[in-house]
Amino acid sequence: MTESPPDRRARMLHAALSRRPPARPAPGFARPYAAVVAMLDALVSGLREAEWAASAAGDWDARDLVAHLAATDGLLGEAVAGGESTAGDIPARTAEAIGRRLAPEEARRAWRRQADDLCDRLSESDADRRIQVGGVRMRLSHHVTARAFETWIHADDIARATSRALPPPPAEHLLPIADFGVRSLPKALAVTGRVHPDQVLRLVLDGPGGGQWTIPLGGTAAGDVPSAQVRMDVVEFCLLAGGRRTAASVRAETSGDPVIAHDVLTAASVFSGP
Amino acid sequence: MDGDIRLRQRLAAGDDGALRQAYDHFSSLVHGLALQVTRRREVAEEITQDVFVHLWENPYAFDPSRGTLRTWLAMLSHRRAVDWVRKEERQRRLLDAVEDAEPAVPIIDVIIADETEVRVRHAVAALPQRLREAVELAYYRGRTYRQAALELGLPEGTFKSRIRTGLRCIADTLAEEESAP
Repeated sequence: MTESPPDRRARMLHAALSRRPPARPAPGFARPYAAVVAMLDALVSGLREAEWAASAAGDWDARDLVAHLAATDGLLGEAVAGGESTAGDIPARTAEAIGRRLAPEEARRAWRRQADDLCDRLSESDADRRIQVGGVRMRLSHHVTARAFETWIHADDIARATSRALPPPPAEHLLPIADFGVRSLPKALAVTGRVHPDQVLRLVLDGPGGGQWTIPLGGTAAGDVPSAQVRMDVVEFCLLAGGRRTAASVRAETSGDPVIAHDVLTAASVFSGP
Repeated sequence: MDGDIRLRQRLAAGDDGALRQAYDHFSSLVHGLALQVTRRREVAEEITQDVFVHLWENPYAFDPSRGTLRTWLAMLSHRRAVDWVRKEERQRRLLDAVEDAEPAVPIIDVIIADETEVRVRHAVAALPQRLREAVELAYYRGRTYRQAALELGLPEGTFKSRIRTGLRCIADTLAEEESAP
């Protein structure tokens, strides 16, 4: 007895999706988050005991990073429900989560369950609602993109620590992540005291998910003639903004005003965490 | 169809559309190869399912810098098919050997030819006592079936049936170890 081809296909899909759930369906702005959650989940599901304990970011191993992500995702979940959190809540909740010493598999399941629940609770109409998470007040959609960004950066940390090659997110998810990093640049320059009022930066990010941006660096930028241009691979830019590259180690081509270009590369990672 | 690099990114990102795409493009190839080796339609279908489930569950296992997805899936299918045939052959050889009243070559040698002796001895040691003593007398102490049956005070038929059961258990243990991750 053999099945018809459509039955075989359906049976294969059922078997596959019951062993590894797909990215959680989510409103458009949360799809990059749902996708990188699925990426990290597939990565850590295959880790051996010793790999869970390998140092991945500073003193943190994979289990600590998963606990940290769950703690910060939890603060976002509370903000969606109407709560607010301060900058100090992030390290406090993280310490608490790490202190629970859940077994790796348990920590992974709890993190994924919470992330999927978060996706379920988001709706397109919430995108522009301003909420405060970890002391930062901005649109809900931007907070969710920030979670996608951080989740991907830590997935990359874990992949490096365990000698695996993690592909970047697909272009449609990488673009909003990169865009979020680009749009944070003027504020990054401001908080690091590298203001360039009335200057415009041209940023070219190559590769799938990249693009070109013309960004006023503060004040009332006169026209859109850039005073400096910075060009690099989109993944390199994200790693720079995520604190995994420095102005010195990032592979970038700069032209125009060298001070502006240097300041942009230096300030880019100011919002990155551990 | 997306290129391999993008397809792998989508698989990693939990996009089940990418799995459907991979299946629609490569399932006949995977199935055909498995069928060629196993010559059993239902086995080839199982292998095809396993190969695509494996791809979905382990999206990082395929590395596009080392070759195409097509080649990777073909190799996986071929390997699984060959494993299935080997396991079948081993079991058939065991059963064939048991059918001979007095094996010219001790059956245990047939097993050892494929497996390390240590693993076989572990499997023998794990047998229930009545099966273990029958197997040990016949294969480790060189008794004929008749001598061994006499020694144990058993009818020859009963002794042979213990040997048969014992060898099946050993084959199962070895097969389980092989399929364990």
